[in-house]
Amino acid sequence: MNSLLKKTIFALSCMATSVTFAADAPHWTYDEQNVWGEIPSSLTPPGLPPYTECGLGQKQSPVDLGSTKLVASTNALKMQYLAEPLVISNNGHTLKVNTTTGSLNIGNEQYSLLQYHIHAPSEHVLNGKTYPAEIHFVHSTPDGKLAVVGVFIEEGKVNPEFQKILAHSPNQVQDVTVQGVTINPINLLPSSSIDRNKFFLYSGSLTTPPCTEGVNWYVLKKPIQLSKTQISTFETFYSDNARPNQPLNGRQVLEKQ
Amino acid sequence: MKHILAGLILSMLFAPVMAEEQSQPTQPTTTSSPSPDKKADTTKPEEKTNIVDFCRTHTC
Ligand SMILES: [Zn+2]
Repeated sequence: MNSLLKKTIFALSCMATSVTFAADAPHWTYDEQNVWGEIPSSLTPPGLPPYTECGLGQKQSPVDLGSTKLVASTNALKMQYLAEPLVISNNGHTLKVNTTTGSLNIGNEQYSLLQYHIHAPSEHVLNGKTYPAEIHFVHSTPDGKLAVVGVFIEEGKVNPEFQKILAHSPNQVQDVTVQGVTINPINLLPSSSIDRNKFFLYSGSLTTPPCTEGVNWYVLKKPIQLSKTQISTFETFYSDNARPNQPLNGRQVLEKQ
Repeated sequence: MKHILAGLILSMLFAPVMAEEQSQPTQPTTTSSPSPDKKADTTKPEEKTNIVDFCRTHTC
């Protein structure tokens, strides 16, 4: 092998690594939330709406869920989550678990679970109270309707299922498929199906760019518990990846007891 | 030789970026009003499809 070829192969291997990171590099940061709406579309992924909704939208998320209208009945949530191989993405904004099998039924509509990810501290708040963290389970219908189930995290007992995420998440921006490990997101929800059906419901948006509206939010009233160490371990990955409260602008938060 | 290698470097440099930036396949979608708060949905159908793909791969 001549030296030019050796140098070229070395250069290519360096570039391949750096390009992987560059391609996954964040297009936005939590430090610049006030200008998300001004990010020019030349810098945003093609095919998506511009990020202007982050600045101009009137139905944005998260919100303070403290002021609600009680409702006796609404469509029940039926989560059908299954154990599947653990695939984690550290995407520069959060730790995200990619899924292919879970589903959520709301009334007659069936949603697929796309992924779930974690914010610390919580994005939604209750009368100004913030939780240490919040998990978002992102679902969609085949025609593109989005429903996100939010689950607050409080400090308490160790959650062994969550420990799998912490133990296998890459420190760098990278996707990993963890060989021989499965995870069932049902174990990251309140254990009782009754508690899984007491929630706050409102119409909001994605909490990250492009901040698209028309997202139905179901934030469960009952938090799950993680140990103090688990919460602080997550914070070694991401400690301030939460968007602050957005104005309700006349929206009504419904509370299903 | 140098030109071939330079071309190879450039193609490797940009291939992953281009792969990420390829627009996702679109399909006709129907929109229905979200409950509980009906909203005039101004998102284009192809953007909706792309948002679902985007949410699969990004934080969302
Ligand atoms: Zn989220």
